[in-house]
Amino acid sequence: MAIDLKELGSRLRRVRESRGYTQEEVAELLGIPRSSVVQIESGNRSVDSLELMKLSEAFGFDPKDLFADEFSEQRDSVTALFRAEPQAATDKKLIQAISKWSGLCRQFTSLEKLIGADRGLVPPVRYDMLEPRNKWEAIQQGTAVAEQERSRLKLGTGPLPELPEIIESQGVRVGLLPLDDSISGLFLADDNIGLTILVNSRHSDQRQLFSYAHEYCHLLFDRQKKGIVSRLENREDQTEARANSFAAVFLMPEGGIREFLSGVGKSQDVPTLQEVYDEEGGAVRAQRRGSSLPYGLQFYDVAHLAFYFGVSYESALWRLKSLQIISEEERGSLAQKQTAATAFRKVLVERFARHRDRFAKQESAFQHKLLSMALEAFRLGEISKSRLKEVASNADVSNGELNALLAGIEVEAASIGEEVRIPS
Amino acid sequence: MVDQSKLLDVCTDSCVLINFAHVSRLDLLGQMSDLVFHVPEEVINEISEPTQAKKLEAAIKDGTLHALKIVDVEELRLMAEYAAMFGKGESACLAVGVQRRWIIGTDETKDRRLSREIAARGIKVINTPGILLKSIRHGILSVEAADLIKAELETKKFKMSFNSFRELVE
Repeated sequence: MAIDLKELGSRLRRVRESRGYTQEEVAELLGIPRSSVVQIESGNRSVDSLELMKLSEAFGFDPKDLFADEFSEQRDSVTALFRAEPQAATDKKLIQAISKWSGLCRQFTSLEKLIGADRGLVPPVRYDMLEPRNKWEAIQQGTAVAEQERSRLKLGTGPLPELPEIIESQGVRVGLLPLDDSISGLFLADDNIGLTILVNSRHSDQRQLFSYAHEYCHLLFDRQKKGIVSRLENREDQTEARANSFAAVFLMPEGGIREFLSGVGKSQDVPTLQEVYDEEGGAVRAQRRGSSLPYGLQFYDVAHLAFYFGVSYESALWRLKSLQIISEEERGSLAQKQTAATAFRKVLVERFARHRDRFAKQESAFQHKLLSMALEAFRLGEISKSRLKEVASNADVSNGELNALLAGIEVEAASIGEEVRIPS
Repeated sequence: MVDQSKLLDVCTDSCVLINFAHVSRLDLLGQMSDLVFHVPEEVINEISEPTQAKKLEAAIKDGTLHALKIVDVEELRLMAEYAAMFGKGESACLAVGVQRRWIIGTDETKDRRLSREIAARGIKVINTPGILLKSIRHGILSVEAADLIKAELETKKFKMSFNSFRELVE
């Protein structure tokens, strides 16, 4: 059944409220008086098409949803996120960033459906475990699932510099956006935009990698919540503790850490005293000088380990402590050498630049995919050229670049002239 | 005296407007005795080249063309549906074409997606060559002048499938 003006106005009001916008702010956004917004929301004046599309872009909702028989702003993950995170709903920059990202993801999902690329997609695995009763259980769950995921994805025990690509291969859209410093990342999940992870591009590479793993954990466990913003101040929450535990174990598996330490001669498995039976009824004894720490780990070992796994020095320290490779006292002592560790890491980074370009690539990788998807949809005749141009523009592709691509697709069509079309 | 009831409305997309703005002949669209050309706001926004945008603005101001604001709920719904597959201007033209049974003015009928939708919905279309031909038939434009426009548009890679309008009027 078609909706009327009153219902359309009411739905627009609900979307506005879910984004924490006042009528004055919407009026400013649309360049109209506040009284007009009041009239639109009460059904006394229709929103026009330009205003509707502007609102859809600013608030990151699909305008199609407004006209559905049954409308619920709750179905939309962006709304769910802001409802669950009242703090986020007051942050206009965050709203804009999320709205822009969800708009790109929606275009991606829509193109995927148009060209039939969604048919072969297997939805990412989901772990339906009981809600943890306390932080201890949360950490246990995170640890167990991290090990299981490592094994399921056949990732071995080494570092995961290509983690964003690994997550993408699981059908998750990943992106980087400049967010407030207090936010490390967020996830959104609904039918329109698919599963998506956003990480704060303002954070260091190491922190970003940790955030990717952290948000991936939320998608594995907390997808039904549709969206969560991960903030430092929430780290005591059980779901956050679980995601942090997952990230630490996923990025730095115990086996990998022990192999690494063994490789640099810092293995506890090397006994300080060895006795070798010599078949003559006696034994040859060999003794190794002990160190003040069981593993003798120095700041440069930890910095090297952190660099190897692409995580922060601090994160590596906590992981070593959780594996009981170092004690709390040792962790504290090593943490005080952060400055020296940073200097050492710089040396490593300069020598081994392999991690450097990864994140720059990631930033544009999603947009490249979006463009490829749109070109394919155009080639198959599922979207018009004009729509292709819009998608390309959203993916920051210039007209010149697009025209060069189109030249390769439209060679045949361009050679045929336009016939006369007059309505009979 | 023009019989208003016999006037046909055309919802015009950007490609046609760009062509006529390029040859500085948007006035032709206002001289058709049987057609009234409307331009949705989305289409106006798509014309970004400053000189063309100014010509369009002037043509709307002097009444040659009529700016169109879409506010009807069903048209808004259609536009929202079309937005995933078509550009904003095309979506507006299609929504009006479907809902009001207006003619669409477009040169993108070789676009597979657009032509499929036009055929499925039974929408009538007029294009740049069609408008030029009608102008000749209405005595607004000579064949020679139309051919000059054709030649000028061809420099901008807009080709027509015939050599001269004379082939069509004789």
